[in-house]
Parts: sequence; structure tokens; C-alpha cells
Amino acid sequence: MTEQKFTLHVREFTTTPGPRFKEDGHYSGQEFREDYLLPRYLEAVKSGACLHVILKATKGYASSFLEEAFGGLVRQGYKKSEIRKHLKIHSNDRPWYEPEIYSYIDEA
Amino acid sequence: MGTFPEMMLLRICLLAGSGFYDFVKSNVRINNSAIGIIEKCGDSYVDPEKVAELLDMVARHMKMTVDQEDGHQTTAIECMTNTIEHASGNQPSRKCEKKWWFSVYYDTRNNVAKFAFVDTGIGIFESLKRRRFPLFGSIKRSEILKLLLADSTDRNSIKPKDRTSTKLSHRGKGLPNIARRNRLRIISNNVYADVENNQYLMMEQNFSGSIICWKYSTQNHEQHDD
Repeated sequence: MTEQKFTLHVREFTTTPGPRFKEDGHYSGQEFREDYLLPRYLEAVKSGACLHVILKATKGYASSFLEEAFGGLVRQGYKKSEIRKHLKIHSNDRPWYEPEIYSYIDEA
Repeated sequence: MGTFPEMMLLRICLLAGSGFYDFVKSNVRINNSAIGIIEKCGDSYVDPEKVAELLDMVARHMKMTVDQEDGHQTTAIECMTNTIEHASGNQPSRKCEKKWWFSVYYDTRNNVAKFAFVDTGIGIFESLKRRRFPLFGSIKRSEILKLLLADSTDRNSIKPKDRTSTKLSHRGKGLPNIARRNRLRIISNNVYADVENNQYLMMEQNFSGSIICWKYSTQNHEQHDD
């Protein structure tokens, strides 16, 4: 793993995360994955680095948002083992989101 | 539930004849500032910004921490998501009925916030029926709701792919999140649940949609996020 650090703050996308799909409402997990998470993830993978996703400074996350954003990577064809290797979730102020997100990746 | 008696004679004599309706449109004005503040919103799609606006008001008055506010925000979004995902079943023609209302009443006297979410969808059980949920029909609806609200340990009795009405293993995690709220009460179709008191009852009348209510007071902190 290289030293270069790739970081994605969810607040770059929104401070009020919404539903699962784009057609269900504003700031969906699908939109976050397609427009923010996946491009940055691929960039990190290409550089052999890890993408650090920072969850803080937003309102609460619905399970469907998180599942669609992170579990959706697996359904899009990316290997679970690779995702676990190149993606690190940071949620110090609300630590329960970290295992929740990893479980969505593992169960997808 | 606010439904009329089925017998026409009773409707006329008991309600109309009694003069009850003379008092329905009350002229009495309630002074909101003395009792509490009510805020509400509604729409046909998930709107996290609107909910955040509403909750900010209560959070400010009740001096909620960010985590506590987050818990209510998450629950409201889960409710809305359920409305959008379940309300039309698999009938696109019912799309227009995906409508929800969310209200927060802040009781200034007792420092209690009361949350109410209503949707005019088809209700949890009608949705499960249409999507051929495996347990549907084999056990009572009230028992199904209990299972759907249960945490992941209790839910092991349902295979992962069967936990959700969509039959996709990655779905169906919203209801257990909703179940974390204090004094949670749910009415959906003909099932009433008082989750805190573990009461799951069948009702005689059917409600097309869902009503989800919960309370928050500074005296009854929830476990980690509320």
C-alpha cells in the first residue's frame, strides 16, 4: 500500500444523507456511490492506496443509504476482499457506523 | 382510528344526531407558545433536508446532542424510505399515493418531543402480501411485525433473503433501526404495536398505510444514539 492518502468526506456530497435510490429522493446512497465513492475508490486502487471515507459532520445515515453506497460496490462487481483492502471507514463520533458498513460489504 | 361505525343507523344516531359534529370545528384557539410547538412537513419523496430543518428546532429547544438528533433523523428517513419503497407495492399506478407526513410536537411544559410519521401507502402487510413474503399467511401478522422489528439476533429465525419484502438480502434493515426509538407505537394495516410494552395486537379495522409514533424526553435517553 502506497503512502499517498486518498480521502473522501461524505459532507462533500451532502450533510443530510437520504434514501437508497436516486428516484426515491435527494442525496441517495446510489448517487453518492456513483458520483463520489466509486471514482475516488478507483483512483485509490489504481495508485495502490487506501481510500479513507470520513462520515462525520453530517446528519444521521439511514441503513438503506449506507447499504446502497457500500454494498452497492460489491453488486457492481468489485471484489469484497479488494474493497476491504482499499477502503477504510472513519466514524469516530458515531463508531457504530463502521462495523455496520463493513457488514453491508460482507453481506452484499 | 377515526372510522365510522359500519351500521348506517349508528352513524346517523350516534354521531350526526348527537350533535358531535357541532364541536369538531372548534373555535377555541390553542396558544402554541404556552403548550408547545408543532412543526410538520410532507411529501412524496424522501427529503432529508426538510426533516433536518424540523429536528433542528426540537434539538435546539431540548439541547439534544448531535447523536441524539441523528437518531431521530435516521428514523424519519427510514420511515420515508419504507413509504417510497413499499407504498406502491408493485403497482406503478399507485405511485401518486406515495405520500408521507412527518410532525414533531415539542411539549415545552414537560420538555418532551413527540414525533409522528404517517403515510398513505398500502401498509407493511399489504406490501408483504403482494411481494409474497415467505412467512405471510403462515403466522399472524402481529408476529411478523415483531420479527421484522427484532434485532439481528432474533431475526436469525428468518433467512437473510427472506427478511425483506423485496426478497433481496441487502434490504430490510430499516425496521430494526426504527425499533430503537422510545415509546414506539406502530399501526400498519390491521396491526397495532406498542413496542416498548411488547404488545402486538390485531385490529378489527384496516388502515391503508402506516402510522409510526415515538417520544423523546431528556429523562429517557435511548441506548447510544438518542
